[in-house]
Formats: sequence, C-alpha cells, structure tokens
Amino acid sequence: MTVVRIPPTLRNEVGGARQVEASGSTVREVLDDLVERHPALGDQILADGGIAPFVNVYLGGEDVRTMDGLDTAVPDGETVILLPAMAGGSSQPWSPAVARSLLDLIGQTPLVELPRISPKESVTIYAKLEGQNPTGSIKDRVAKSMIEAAEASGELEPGRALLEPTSGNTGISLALVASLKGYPLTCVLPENATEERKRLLRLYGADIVLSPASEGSNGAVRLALEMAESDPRWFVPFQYANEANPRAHYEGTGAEIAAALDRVDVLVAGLGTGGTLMGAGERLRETFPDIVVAAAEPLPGDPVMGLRSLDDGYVPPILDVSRLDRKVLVSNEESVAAVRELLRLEGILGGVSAGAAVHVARRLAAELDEGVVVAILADGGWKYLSADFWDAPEAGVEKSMESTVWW
Amino acid sequence: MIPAAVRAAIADHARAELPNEACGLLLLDGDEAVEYVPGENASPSPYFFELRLDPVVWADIGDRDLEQAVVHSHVSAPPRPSRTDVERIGLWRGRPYVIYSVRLEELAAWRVSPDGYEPLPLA
Repeated sequence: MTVVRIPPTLRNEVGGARQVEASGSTVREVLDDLVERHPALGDQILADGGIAPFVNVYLGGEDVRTMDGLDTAVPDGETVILLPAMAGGSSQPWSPAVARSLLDLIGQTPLVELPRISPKESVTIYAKLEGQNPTGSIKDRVAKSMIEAAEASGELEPGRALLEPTSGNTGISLALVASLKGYPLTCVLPENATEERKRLLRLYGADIVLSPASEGSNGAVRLALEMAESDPRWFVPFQYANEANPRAHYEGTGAEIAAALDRVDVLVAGLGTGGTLMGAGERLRETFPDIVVAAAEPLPGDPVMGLRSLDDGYVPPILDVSRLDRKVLVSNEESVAAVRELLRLEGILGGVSAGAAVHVARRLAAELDEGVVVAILADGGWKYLSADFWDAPEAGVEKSMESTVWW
Repeated sequence: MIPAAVRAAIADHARAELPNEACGLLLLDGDEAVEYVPGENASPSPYFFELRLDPVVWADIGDRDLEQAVVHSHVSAPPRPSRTDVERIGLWRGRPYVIYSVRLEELAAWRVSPDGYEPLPLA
C-alpha cells in the first residue's frame, strides 16, 4: 500500500481525508487505483491519458513529470504527494470582452426565437445563428477543430500545406484558421461557385483550383484527392471523413444548444457533410433522448447551394444515415422562398441552406401539438448577394407543400 | 485582515524577485493572515509565475488547520487577475488568491474561477 497525501483543494473528493491509501507499483497504477476508490478525483488528477494539467504529483519529494511520468516506479512504503499546480502571471489583461485571437470567437453563437415563422403558438422555433461566426459560417467551427486535431496528432506541422475540396464556406474558414496559424491553403471548388466566394478565398490568402461545374461538389472531391495522392506535401483535412468535423458540433454546436434550452423536440440542419447532424444530434440526444434529428436534404437533381443529395452517389464517411430520424427533401425554390421569408418576417439574412433548414423546421413544427424546434442556420446571406433569387417573384404556397418526406 | 508585518513580507519578497514575478503562500487563520511563506518562481519571468514549494513542506502546511491563499506579484500591472491567472486557476478556483502590484504598491485579494473573478475583502 502507498500513502497518498491529499491537498485541501481535493479533500472534498475523498471525504475530507488528509491522506488515503492506494496500491500499485507505478505512479499510473497508484493513481488509477486512487481514482477507482475515489471516483470524484477522476479527471482532476488524470486527463487525456496523463497527469491532469492543474495537479502536480510528487514521489520522494520530486515531481514525477521530471522522472518517468506515470511510469515512474513507486517503491514500497514511499509516499505520493498531490499538490495544486499553480501558475499565472500578468502577461494578458483579463476581460470577458477582449479576445486574444479571432479563433477564440468561433462558436458560442446566439439562439433566437422565430415567432413569425412558427406555424402555431404552442411550438417554438429557435434559430442558431451560425452566420455570426468570424467568417460568417458554421464552418469556422469545423476548420478550427480539424486543424487543431491534426496539429495535436502530429499530422500537421509547419512546412506542410493544406488542400481541401469545398463549395466555399469551409474553404473560407480554413483560410482564416490556416492564415492565423501560418499554413498555406489551396481550395478545390466547382467553377460555378459564386464570384464572391472565389474572391473571398483569395482575399483570405487561399490559392484556388477549379473543378468542372458539371461534376458539382463530387468533382471537387475527386480532383483534390487525386492531387493529394500525387504530392505528399499536401495535408487534406477532408471534412467529409474527418471525425474532428462532427466532434466540433458535438462539443460546440450541440453542447451550446443543450446548455441554453430546457427542451428540444426536433433538431433540423441541412445535410452537407453530415457533421452538424451527427455531432450536434448525438450531443442533444444525450440530453433529450426523444429528440427527432432531421436532415434537410435537397431534391435529387435540384441542388441547393451548400447541401448535398445522398442520391448523388457519395455518402460522406462521417454520415451514419441510421442516426437520422427524419429526412425531408426540399427544393431549391422552397429554400429560396424560406430564406426570403426569414428576412421579411424575422429580419434574418440567411444563406440558401438556412432557408432549407427553416422550411423543414416549419414543416416539422406543424406536425407537433407543442414543443421546441431548433434549426441551425449555417450561414448568412451576405455571400449570395449576386444570386438573382432575391428579386424573383415569391414562390407559391402550394409549391412549398411539394416537399417529399422520406421517413 | 493582513497585518502590516505580513504585508511587508509579501512586498519585500516581490521587490527582491524583480525584474520577475514573485510567488508564495499566505496562511490565514479565519480572516487573519498569520504568515507568508515565500515560494520559488519555477518559470522566472516578469510576466509569469509557477509556484514551487518543497512538496513535503506544502503538504505539511495543508495538514495545519489554516486556509491558504496563493500569492503572486505583478511587476507593473494592477493587482487584478490577468487572463493567464484566470485560465490557470485550476484547482484553486474559488479559493483565496492574492496579488501584489510592485509598481502600484497595492495588495488585493480575489476569488477566481475559470469564468472570472470577484474581490475578496481581505487586503
């Protein structure tokens, strides 16, 4: 048995004891046994497979981090001492209103009620305004998450360059994060992407490679993967298959909604990579087990900018269709009608995929007697100003009822 | 209350460590500061501290029936918790946290959490 001395800051977790016993022949075994006996100590002393950042562990008066870390041998009868790791300093003034970096302003987007969009008073629709991220879209979360995960795993190091197939928003987000962190970025996008998008990408410092318009997003994916295969210098985050994409939504988007609302019956998000639906859906299901996670999917052959039809033949690896409770098909015309209504009724200038999400949210809200629907509005409309749909005649109501509900 | 002699011990230590930040532990008996235990700044810098005390000594202090306050100096900044202080508060969240500004000769006490801080009527 090894005696472990507990500092006052951790004594609540061990029933007030000044010291406790644990057994093991290495520091790891002793601490594992300690956590088993006193689970409340948990991640306060062990985190991410190592010693937690805010605790120091001493053996024979020495910090075990300067010895063999968790593998340090614990001789019989030796005492282990736990103490708080205290550090700080005057380097950066603290203020909740001042951020150190634009990267710190990604996420924590607001939720706003859409009372004029909701078809009945007993159902509340909330919109999560992802357009309020630094580059104006939800993809800021994904870009930061993917790049930081690759840095942490060692895949991405100074000297490598990023390459990503993207219809636009992910590219702009990657361009911001890459430029703040000092990596060059090349984006592959369909040649029919809007001029604003291409210009924005270049302004943020990205190089652009165009893929055939006729092949859509899938063509950009194909070309980027071919380029990466022929040159090992490229690191391709590849949001369609990168687990850091849904994780950004599990830890961010979904967790923020769960913290903000007491009830969520339906979550609606556009089907793009599937990252939002998988990550936020999973997180919200933990808090609201009966939640309906619903995808707004474009009609086959009727592309909605930023969204993807599974009928195109490519199912993103991060997307597990069995985790979707509903899939509602929505036409481009319905999306556009909804985005214009969103602006006219609620004052929100959303992107086209936001229109698709609002359309589906309203439709599912109509099916409920009462409840709460959350629609994730992936971006604002600023990047679509050159599109002509803003001035087109309003789509008919009967047209908006044509959306196909698959299950 | 921090008696003049204890306050002088903190100020003397902070000046002695210039140009770097100083750090240590203040021991409190109820509301009364009874002793200042100077520590070593393991990351000597004018903008950073990392408190090091002999672990056996610190563990023994923890077994006395006294409250502890972590103390450090700011060389020129006001004695308010900085972003670094807030981010690194760790296990010390909610516990007495004392800062001495060498330039302003001001001592202030706080309770710090990862979300911010509030003053503690101590200094």
